[in-house]
Amino acid sequence: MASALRQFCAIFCALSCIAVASAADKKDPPSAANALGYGVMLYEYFQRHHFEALREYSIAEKRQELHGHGSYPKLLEGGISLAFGMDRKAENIFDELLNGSYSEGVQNQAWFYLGKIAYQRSNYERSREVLGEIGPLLPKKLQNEYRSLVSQISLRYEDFNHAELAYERIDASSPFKPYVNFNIGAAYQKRFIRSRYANAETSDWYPATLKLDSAAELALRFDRSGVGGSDDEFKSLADRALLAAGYALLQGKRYDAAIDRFKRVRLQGPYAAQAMLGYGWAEVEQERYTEALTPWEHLIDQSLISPAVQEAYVGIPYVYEKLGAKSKALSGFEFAADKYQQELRSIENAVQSLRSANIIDLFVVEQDKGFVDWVDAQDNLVLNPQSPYLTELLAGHEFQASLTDLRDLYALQQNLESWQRKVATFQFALDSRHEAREAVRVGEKQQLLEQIDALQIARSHAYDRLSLIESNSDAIALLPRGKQINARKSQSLAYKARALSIEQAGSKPELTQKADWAEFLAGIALWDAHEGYTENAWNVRKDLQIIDDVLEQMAQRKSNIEHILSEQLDVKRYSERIAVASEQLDETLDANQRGIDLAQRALSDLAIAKLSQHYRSIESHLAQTRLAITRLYDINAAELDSTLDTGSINDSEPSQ
Amino acid sequence: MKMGWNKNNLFASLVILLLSLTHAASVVAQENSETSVSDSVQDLKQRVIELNRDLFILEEELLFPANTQVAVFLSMDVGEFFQLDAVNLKIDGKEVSNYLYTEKQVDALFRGGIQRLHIGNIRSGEHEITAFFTGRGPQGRDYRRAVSHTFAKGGDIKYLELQIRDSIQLHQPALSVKEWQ
Repeated sequence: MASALRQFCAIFCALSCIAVASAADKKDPPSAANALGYGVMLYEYFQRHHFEALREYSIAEKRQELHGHGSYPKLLEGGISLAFGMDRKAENIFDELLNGSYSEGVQNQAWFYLGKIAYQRSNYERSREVLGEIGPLLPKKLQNEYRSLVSQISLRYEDFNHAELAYERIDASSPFKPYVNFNIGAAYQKRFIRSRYANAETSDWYPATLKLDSAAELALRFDRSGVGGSDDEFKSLADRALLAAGYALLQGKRYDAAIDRFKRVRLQGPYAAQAMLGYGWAEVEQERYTEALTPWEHLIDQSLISPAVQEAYVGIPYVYEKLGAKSKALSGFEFAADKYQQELRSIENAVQSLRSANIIDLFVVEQDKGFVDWVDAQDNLVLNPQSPYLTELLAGHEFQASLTDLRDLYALQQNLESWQRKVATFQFALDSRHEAREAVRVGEKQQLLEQIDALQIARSHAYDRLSLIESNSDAIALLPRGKQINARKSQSLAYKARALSIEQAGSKPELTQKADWAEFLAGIALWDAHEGYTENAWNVRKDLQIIDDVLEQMAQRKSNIEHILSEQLDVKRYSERIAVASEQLDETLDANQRGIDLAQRALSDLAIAKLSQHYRSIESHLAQTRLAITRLYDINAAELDSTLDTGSINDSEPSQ
Repeated sequence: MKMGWNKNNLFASLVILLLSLTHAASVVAQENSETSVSDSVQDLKQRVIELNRDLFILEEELLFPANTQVAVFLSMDVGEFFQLDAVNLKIDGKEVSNYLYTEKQVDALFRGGIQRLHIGNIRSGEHEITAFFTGRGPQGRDYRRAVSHTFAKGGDIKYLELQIRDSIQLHQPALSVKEWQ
């Protein structure tokens, strides 16, 4: 069934896809947090990292980063919770959201997956209730599986009419069809057996046979069409149906028809031993004892762990006894008793190892230590049954669900332990950060403030000087330093020359000419200075602007530093948060360990109960065998007495 | 009938065994036990998710405070002209991430997921981010391109999104950096 299911379950979940698509249609531009937080959740979800997706959802929700997407993120959370095996949470979300806000198709899918998980968890009442919510608009790809589930649930409640109705509505080409057919037949047969125990025998064996024959025929048709792939899935189903049909006919006292079904079970298949056993009993029922020996003697060449082989061990001496070969019967019973005792010891050992071993290590063949996708059938665990007695138990939904729970618990444990290691470093990080901040407080800030002060003083001086120059129209002051010195010297020389020429105007009249010349040169220097005044003033202002820009940047930096320092790193508060987190981690790890122990014990109890069932069955065989041995010894003793009395020996062993 | 074996019982036990192969046997006690374990596992899962959330936030506050935090994300729209293999990310010339993508991750990006590629600390002021993308371009040819962006880091968290978009006009991937406010 696994591969057939795979085609139908291949990955969940139109629900969430609808949520994603619809959310993408939103018109309002989201903020960074809204867009990015939601996107990160989707990134995890699309990789089927359900735990990480739920964590991202929870972070975004706490930071109020999910606005602008309507209720789609919540719907998505429901879908992911379902895939993460949190069906109760999913159900609450769906209950809250799916009240007319979404299309019927979306609602129906939500109910379908909820019902399916409830069924897998053996919560049949809840599954029936949830599946009952589903309206007519269910996507086509889910319809056959839905009808199959409805049929299964109906059979649980012996509502055969409803189960048949659901079966009729499954497409003829659907691989679910032969399975549902088989299950209906098997349910009839179970009811027939119960009626026999209640001494109110019904004729349910007949509809059981019809359904089982039909299931076998359908399964073989699917096998021929190649639907089952290469894993003999439908051949096995056909074998199982033929075997069940054979036993139904045997109970209906249709012995030859039963033999016909048993003969059609493949000899190389997993049901061959049970078919041979049934074949033998069908012959015994018609008192064709010799014919019964053929399949049974073939059986006792096989391993005793098969319940069919165990029965053959006691069946053969029973047949010998019926044939009058008491000696052979006696040795056969004694051989069987030895074998049963060996097998009982083997089961006792298996129970012992179940009590002491780690269930996951014992049963799970391949472990990637991660979380499991609860909705995708591909994630069914590959199990090593350890004992053939446990094969059927391990294949059941209940065991698979419990084992998946246990594996998830181990994954949770890994997650918590990893956080425990990280949290141990948090206090160190906090202390380091605190020290770094202190270093900034006493070092960098002080240095920056000094730089800013010095720059501001320099700037202020420069502005004052420029203002003075402008107010005095002192163009020379703006000249480059060399030119400025020359111009000042020229002005000084002209001034001194003029003063001297006036003082000595009478005695040295030529000085007037030199003073004129000096004033002419000073005038040229001043003219040059005024000529470049605008450009020089602009250059000075440009330089001052650069200083202003630097000052602004430094002010911004100062503001940032002050902002950082003003945001008091509340070491105490963080230390408390770290301590609380650490405590919560310890508590959760303890709770997780208790969960692991509980799940281990539950699984171990299930397996032990199954082994005990087989143990009791073998014990019963052993008790019957011992009685037979005692009885045969009594008969032998009586016959010996009789022989001694009459003085003759009568060997009634038939030839085989 | 003088026989040491009760055939009727034998048939019945065998048939029950047979049927349980299909309808996995369910005992009431077993269901109850399973349900209670399942309930406690679901409670634990919720508890661990919430604890992870709180620890994640605490870790971010401690290791990447807002005034120094820079977070770089990667998104992909369509991606018809580019099959992403790897991204090499540098901030101010220093490599901060070198990420190789699996098929599953590329698919998650293609379907609308956004990857948190890098989270780190930088000083306030101007910085340059450079991302080198390698993969398969149009017609399946080897493709390597880079995109750079200068940004200013202030007192708030700086969110940057590396975007891979399809340019229909150019039949080329269009790479860009979006700076979120």
